[in-house]
Amino acid sequence: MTDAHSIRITVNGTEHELAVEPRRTLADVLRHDLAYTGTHLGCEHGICGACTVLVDGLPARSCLMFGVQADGRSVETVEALGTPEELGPLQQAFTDHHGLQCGFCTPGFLMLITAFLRETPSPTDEEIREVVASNLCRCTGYQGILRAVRAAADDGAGS
Amino acid sequence: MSYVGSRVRRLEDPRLLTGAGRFADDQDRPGQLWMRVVRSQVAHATLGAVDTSGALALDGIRAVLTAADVILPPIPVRVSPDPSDLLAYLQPVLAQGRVRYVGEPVAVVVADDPYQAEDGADLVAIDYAELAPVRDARAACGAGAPQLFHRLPNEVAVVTASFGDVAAAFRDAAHVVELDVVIGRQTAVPIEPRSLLAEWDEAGQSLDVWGATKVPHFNRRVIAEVLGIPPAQVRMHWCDAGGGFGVRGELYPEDILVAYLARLLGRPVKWTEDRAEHLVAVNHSRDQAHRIAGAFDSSGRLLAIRDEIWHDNGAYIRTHGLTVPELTTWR
Repeated sequence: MTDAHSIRITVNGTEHELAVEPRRTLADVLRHDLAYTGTHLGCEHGICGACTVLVDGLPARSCLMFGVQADGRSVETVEALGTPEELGPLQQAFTDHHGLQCGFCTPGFLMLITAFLRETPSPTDEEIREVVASNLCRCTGYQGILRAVRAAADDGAGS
Repeated sequence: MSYVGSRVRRLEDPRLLTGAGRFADDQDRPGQLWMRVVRSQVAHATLGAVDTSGALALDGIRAVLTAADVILPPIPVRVSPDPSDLLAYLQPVLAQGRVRYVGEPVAVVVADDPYQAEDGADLVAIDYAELAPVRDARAACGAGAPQLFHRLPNEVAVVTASFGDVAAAFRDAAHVVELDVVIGRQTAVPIEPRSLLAEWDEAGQSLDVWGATKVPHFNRRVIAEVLGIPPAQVRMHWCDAGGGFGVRGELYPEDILVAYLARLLGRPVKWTEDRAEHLVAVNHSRDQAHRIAGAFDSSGRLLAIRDEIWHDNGAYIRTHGLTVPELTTWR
């Protein structure tokens, strides 16, 4: 590594300081440098949304951001939403309504919807469809995801 | 039978919902190297010189290999029986003297990190003497078509199946309708790209492999044969998989390469496919042209069907052998 920059990123409340090449993506920093492997890479060009994380509260494709751009920022990943023993409300809604099958795209959907429900706690079905269309799911189909988001919103997951 | 009609909780959901799953690219091993495959940019060409010096001059590059550097058996047919007359049509792990499809592996670059490996791959210079591509199975069987293999016909096999007295039905038919139809080529795009990680244990003369999820027993046997060790000394580790759709998990050149390189270099070797690479690297299938005829009686009742089918199996016979044409003719 010839041209490393020292950066400081807060991930799920934990501060990390590390040296990264300027071209290294935020996704690779999270996955391979910091071991937050819940963030997944499906296309590496911003289409599929599997790598969606929240940067200072807003959804971002971590494959389209460089790690150095996250310097001084706060990142939230799927690991922040709950644990296998204690799922968060949105995660619970996904399993209750069959919102996942292979689970690879799921972390991206969860992060996208987390930000959406914070901003729009009582969305219409139309608004849910609009947001969910941002990300690609290849195997479950979207009906279960729509039902899960509806249920999570109705249960107050965003408030 | 209380489960019938009821919603069953999936055991895997809690880990998949919390980022605690284990997909192939989720594990890194100490000392791990990254492989990048240099792929053919052309559909059909004679390979000239492959210049690896530019790549080898970069920082972090640990190896650059072409077919000239490795002696590896071709990718075998998985479905049994493995017909010996298909042997000449099998795909070499790295292209030997000729490339036959866009995306065919020509060389591999192994580096300390994936960015360096990709830089190195960009600097591998390949001389192609382009040949006419073979794009249509029916035309490929005709006179004067460009030939894919030296002294071998493009028509690899003929599969014939029949039942009933078709000839009589057509002879007695009031109406015969004949038409040409085609079935488009298809492949699959699971959301998780393929990924493989292999680690060689010199003391135990054994190999650990992560990421081969669909047919681990077959893949283990082939990898063991290539390495010359008993199958019990190859451990295939289960991983979560981001969709299979048929294409994931077949034995591909990359499965052989990571295993071979992990032992050669004495360090774990990982390869993670990118999306653009996936579109040219995984199996495509089911491209067929049918000349189909129906024999009908005077009231329009179908009496018999006759179908001549040209099945495009791509540039090589891969792991699924002749399965698709055989299934097409299944009575």
